[in-house]
Amino acid sequence: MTRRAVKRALLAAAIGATVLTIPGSAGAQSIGVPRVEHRRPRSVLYALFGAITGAGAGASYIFTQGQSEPGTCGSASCVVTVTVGVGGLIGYIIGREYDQLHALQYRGGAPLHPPMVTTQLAGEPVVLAARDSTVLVGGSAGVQLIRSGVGLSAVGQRAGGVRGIVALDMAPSGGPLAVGSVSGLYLYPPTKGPGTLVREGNVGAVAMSSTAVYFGAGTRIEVAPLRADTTRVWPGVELGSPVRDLELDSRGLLWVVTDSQLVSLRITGDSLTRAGSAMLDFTARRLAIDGTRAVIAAGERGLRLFDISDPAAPRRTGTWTTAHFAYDVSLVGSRLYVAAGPEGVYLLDVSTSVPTTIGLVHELGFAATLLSHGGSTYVIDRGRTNMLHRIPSEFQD
Amino acid sequence: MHQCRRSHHLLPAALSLLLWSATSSAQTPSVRSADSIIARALDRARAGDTSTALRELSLATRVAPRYAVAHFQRGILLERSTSLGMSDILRRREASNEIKEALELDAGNPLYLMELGRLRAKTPFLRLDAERLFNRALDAAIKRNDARVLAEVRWELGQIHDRRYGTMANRRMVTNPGISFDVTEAISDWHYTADFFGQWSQPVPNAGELDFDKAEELYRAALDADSTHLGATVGLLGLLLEARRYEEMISVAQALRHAQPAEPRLLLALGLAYHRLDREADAGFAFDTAIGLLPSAERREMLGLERVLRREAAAEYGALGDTGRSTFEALYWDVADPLRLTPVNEAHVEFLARVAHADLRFSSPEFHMHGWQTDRGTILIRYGQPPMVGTLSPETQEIHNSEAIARITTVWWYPESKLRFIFVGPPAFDVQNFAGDFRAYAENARHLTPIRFDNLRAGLPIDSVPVQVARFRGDRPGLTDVSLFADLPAARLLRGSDVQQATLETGLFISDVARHTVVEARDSAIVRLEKPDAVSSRSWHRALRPGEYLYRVEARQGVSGRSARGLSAMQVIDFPPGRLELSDVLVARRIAPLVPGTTPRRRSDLLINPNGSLAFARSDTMFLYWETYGLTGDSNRVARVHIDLSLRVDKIQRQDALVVRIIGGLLDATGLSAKGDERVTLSYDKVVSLDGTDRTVDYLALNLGEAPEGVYTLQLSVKDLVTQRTVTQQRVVQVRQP
Repeated sequence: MTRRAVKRALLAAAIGATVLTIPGSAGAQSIGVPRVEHRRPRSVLYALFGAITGAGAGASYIFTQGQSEPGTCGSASCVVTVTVGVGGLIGYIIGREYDQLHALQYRGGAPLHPPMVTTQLAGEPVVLAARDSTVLVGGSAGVQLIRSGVGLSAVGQRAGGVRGIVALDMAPSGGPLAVGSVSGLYLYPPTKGPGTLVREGNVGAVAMSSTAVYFGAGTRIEVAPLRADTTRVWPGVELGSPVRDLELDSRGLLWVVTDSQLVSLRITGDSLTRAGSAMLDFTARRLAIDGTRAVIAAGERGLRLFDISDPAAPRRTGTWTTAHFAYDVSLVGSRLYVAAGPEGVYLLDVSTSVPTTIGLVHELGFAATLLSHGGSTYVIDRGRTNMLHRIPSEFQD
Repeated sequence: MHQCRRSHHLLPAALSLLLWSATSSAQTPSVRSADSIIARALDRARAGDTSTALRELSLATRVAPRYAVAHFQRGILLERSTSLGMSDILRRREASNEIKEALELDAGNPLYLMELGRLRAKTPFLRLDAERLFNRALDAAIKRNDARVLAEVRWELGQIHDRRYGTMANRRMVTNPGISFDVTEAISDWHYTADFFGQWSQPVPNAGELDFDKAEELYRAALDADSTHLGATVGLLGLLLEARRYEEMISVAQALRHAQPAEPRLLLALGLAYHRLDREADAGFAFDTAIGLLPSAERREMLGLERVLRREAAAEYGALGDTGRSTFEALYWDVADPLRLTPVNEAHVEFLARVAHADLRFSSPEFHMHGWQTDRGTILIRYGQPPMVGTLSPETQEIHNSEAIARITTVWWYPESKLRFIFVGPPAFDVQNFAGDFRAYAENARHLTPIRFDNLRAGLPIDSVPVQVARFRGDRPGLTDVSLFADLPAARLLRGSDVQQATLETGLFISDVARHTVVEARDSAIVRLEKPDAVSSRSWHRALRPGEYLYRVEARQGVSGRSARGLSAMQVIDFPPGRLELSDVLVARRIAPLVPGTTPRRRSDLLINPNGSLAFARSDTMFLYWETYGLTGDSNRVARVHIDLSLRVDKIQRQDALVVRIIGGLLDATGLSAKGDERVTLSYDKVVSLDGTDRTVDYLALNLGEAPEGVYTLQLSVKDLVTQRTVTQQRVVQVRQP
């Protein structure tokens, strides 16, 4: 009778565990549609594990102590029932904690697990840029040059000692490097040599073409030739509010976000003229452009999507507010990556006017800045240790 | 104050509920009568007369025994006048009975459930039950769509998880079995704490993450329900600070400013976030606005300097009146300002940020404690955020270890200063106190170092600027010409900056005894990588009234922010007309007449390249310049003087014979040499034609030859051979390796 009770307890626990380890019917799902999560509740798994452990502990107690001990719960069946129950309860409580944590972490999207390559960064990284196979990371340690090959490897450092680096870009075809900082804009020769201060003031945004560097200095957008070697105020336009980010599109237009508007600028000779604008009712942080689509990361206000096919009249097409805080954004075709700080990186499908959350890569840590380039998306993880992660932009989970 | 504000925050809710109840049952005469009694009682309570208020509320419950509001109001007043612990157990029981009575009469009222939860939270052993009641209150509030109670109960639940997170955060696991943290050892040997972090404990990753996330969600939800909720605001901003999510702090604080425009705590948090992102000008503005909004008594307590002064100085400071206090504070922060060239006083901003940090993370509504009044808050304000923090789970094995048994141990470690502080407190409470003898240790540390700005120094490295001050008689009576010569370390400031050129800002600031700025001169120049020393010598000349002054010479390189500073007190002496006086001896690298071959009659007749550092290399030539005033002439207006110049070794680094030779400048003495082991003395007489002025100028050049490296005192004595009076001046100069 007693042995039967032990066996029954062990059998029941084992069957439960077996049932829960049979693979789910939902297999790998291609990216592009929202993922449906098929996660087994840890509370059940851990409860079963706890019950099995409890059964084992109870059984070993019976074998070592004999089948019946004096006391209120001295019989084998009582011992096994109590140990299984206690083990199951403890397992359930622990598992429930994991379930709750999981539910909070992935409240905005199902888990995604892209392959990842990682390297350690020095100082406090703030900004990313990339050309060809070189990734540039700007921050308190200057600009770190990282070769993106099979892995990520540090190959050099520029702009040492420049404080408050907040903007960075490199001209195409091995051109110079532009570094925007709280003290001004510096141009660095392509391979080595010290930087030249070409504009004093707080330069918070930079974009480079093969002939010129465009930058936001306070509330102005200015343009300077790549060979500039003097410090001065360059030709440009006044936008009336602080410039947050700027991007060149494939049509040669310069797109700028300020605290109050999205502005398109036409490049005319050595200066700029305003082509159009749209007012913003939020404070913009970052801008991403791809084709005729623009996305603005707006911090607490999430994302705002714009149709910019008509530069004279950018039109808002969508909003996304799942993340607590959208730090940065990057567009790759119909895929949108959102750096959401401690939540990780959200992946969105923007093939339609309504952005759809595909999933969330939580393992990327404190995702503060990201950039998609050459088939990869690079993410600065500003966690306890600062890291640079690389994931394939078109990964299939 | 949180508690106090919370009470004020709840009072309107309770009153609105009262009005709602009163309206709904206005037909009942007994309820109408009870309402008027309750209103009277609440007036008494507001006036601070709790016992009368309680008597009135008892009367209200007797007048309308089936009136839930009367029971609730009595219960809540009883509850508000108790504190956490065993001492008020009977009063809490009475409060509990009243609120339960109210709940029976108005089942599922979320406000009643919440207050019952609060009562539980104040009761030892029943504290764990508070969460269940708060959850019931939450469900009820959602059903009744009561936004204010919803916000309040979410905040309470958020606090529960926040406290649990505080218990688990920075958790470390001891890797050496059988070892527990020894507080006494930690006091006696700093290596013990260093080893704790470095060798025998490991961080537990993601400890407390679930409670952090839950607390954040609840605080956010509370603010969604009521954006004016201060408790939830402070809670959320504190969590974001803890996670170093400063951008989010700014965004949240700015968004909430519309709902809480006059809330100083919100602005203090905003300033703190700006400060952490190095946006010092924004931080300064936010802090200034916050300080302006603080009630004067709170401002005095919150921002007073008692905590960062030595005990005796703090007592003197505490005894000052309002004016004296303000003057002292202005003086303190003026001296503490690392750099006047920058638009803000970084030390003061850092201090305010620390106070704001303590307020956000260490305030305890349960114990009616402000964060800056707590042990952790005090240490944070004195020494900044500790670079290393670890918490240890309660001790369960060593029952004799009364400090750690059933208590969380928190270790703060400052590797640079070797300071360490240990705190203990019960789990899931937001209060921790010094462990063991750490209160005495903290007092000792306070005596040795009342405040440190290590974190500030890391972000704002400051080099030194040698300055030579030379005082001459002014052209107008009562004014003294003061010249300051600085050797700016331009090359050092530029070192490590990968740029061709950088802007070098320089500034001279002179303030009087009352700390009023009397001179402020700023300028900037471009310094080039290949010629950094082109702008390293700077001079300022100002006419000042005799008295005590403090000067600051500052330089700041724009690219890296590296800075240098020379700061000292300066006594500006008077040169009364007609009296024999000697100016300071100006030590220079080179002095030559502007027009070769002419006899200089004023300083401006000479080209002077001063030496701000008063340091020379061996074989260098040291030029000296001085002015003598008030010489008495004979009938032909000719004065005769005897001059003694001695160079004495104060501290020598290598034993060599001292050989100095006058090589120029002084026509009468050219070619004279002097020799000696420890002192050289040159003496000569000079005849001066006064030509309508009593000011004579002299200069000479000394070749230091093989003078050994060391510190020397140069003494100049001038004797008026007509009046037989003598005046003397000294300078300390240095001979060092080139």
